Amino acid sequence: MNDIKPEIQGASIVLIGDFNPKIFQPAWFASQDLIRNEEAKDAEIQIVHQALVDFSLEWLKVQVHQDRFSAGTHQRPYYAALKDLVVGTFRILRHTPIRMMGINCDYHFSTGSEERWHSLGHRLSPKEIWNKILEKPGMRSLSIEGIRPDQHMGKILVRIEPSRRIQHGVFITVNDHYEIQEADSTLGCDNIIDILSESWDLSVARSYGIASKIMEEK
Amino acid sequence: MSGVRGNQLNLNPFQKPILDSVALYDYDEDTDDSTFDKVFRGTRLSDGFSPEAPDELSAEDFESNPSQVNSSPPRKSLHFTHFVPKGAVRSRFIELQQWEGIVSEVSHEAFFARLISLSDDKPDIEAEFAIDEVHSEDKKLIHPGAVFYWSIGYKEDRGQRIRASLVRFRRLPAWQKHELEAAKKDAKDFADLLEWK
Repeated sequence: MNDIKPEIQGASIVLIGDFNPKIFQPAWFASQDLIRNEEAKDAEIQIVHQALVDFSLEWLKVQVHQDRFSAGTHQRPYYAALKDLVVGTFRILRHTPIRMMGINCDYHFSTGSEERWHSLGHRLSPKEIWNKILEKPGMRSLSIEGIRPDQHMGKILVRIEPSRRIQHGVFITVNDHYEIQEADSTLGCDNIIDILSESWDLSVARSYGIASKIMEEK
Repeated sequence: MSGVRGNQLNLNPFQKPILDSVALYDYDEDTDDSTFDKVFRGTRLSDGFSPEAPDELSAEDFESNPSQVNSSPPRKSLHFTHFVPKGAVRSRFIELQQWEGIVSEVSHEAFFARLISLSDDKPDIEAEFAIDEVHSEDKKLIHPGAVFYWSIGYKEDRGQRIRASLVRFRRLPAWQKHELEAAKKDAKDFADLLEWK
């Protein structure tokens, strides 16, 4: 494994199903002992609406729509806490129908120089074809999808773009996408939350491995 | 467990459009141009990466805009998947090492724990922590068997870098009756499988 470390990174868990957003307020999380009371009190609430809840803690951002729950952190030390929060939430709300889940990891790497930055772009999207089609073609975004390496349904989607946060940087996002087999008859979320609980560490490590591999390939 | 792999994907170099996975990575079209980082504007065009910021926003750009949400009904397309807010660049924790700790013994002023490295394959270690190192609201969680996460590293905030240690106890809901029953059944099935009497 290359020693290159991301300058910035984040992780999120996105669940697709049927949710009642108004439940997901900081005070509810505190009342269930999923976050500290102090954190709930200090939460920055953007909106609480029957169709959307959006709030942030120092380490956490939560956004819930009627068809989507998202929770994420940009602080590496809180990755495990993020997973625990989502697992804990849906162990309590275990009758929430959830059909799909994405474990998403984002990275901003520095290449260190403009030359290396362009070299990586060339390697990922060779310009032999594009030079005949466009003038000065440049890579803006590249998405590659692969099948899952495990027994679950879903896919792994990797997207690479120039970073807008780091000069001569590269943004890599890995979407580890899971689906449950009989989505139409989903009554609860035990299956998907079991997958989250069991697969989180592996998923995060695999995503980092993918991102590192992209950065280290010569 | 959710079942087995379903549709095998065709690994042709030209994949079909990925529509369903976009559901987890929607883009927001509302964010105005001011959210773009201008770092690539004005740099010379070259042919490796494209230095121009895209006209359309990617998940990288998304930051929810509550003012927009308040002024109109929430739209289904308003999603976020990215968690690197602008402020995060000014304040962040640079993690050097993280352990998962399991409390083994608690005394009046300290607790002992077995630490499992989450950063590498180094062997487990035993450590003693002062209870005062734990957040006041987490102290009630300190008991034998409790799990916590310990990170060491640097905290960077507005140009200052300080050594930092972060202890956070795991918060999970208490085991429910159906979970205990399921665990007992699994244990019994396993014992039967091994013919333990």
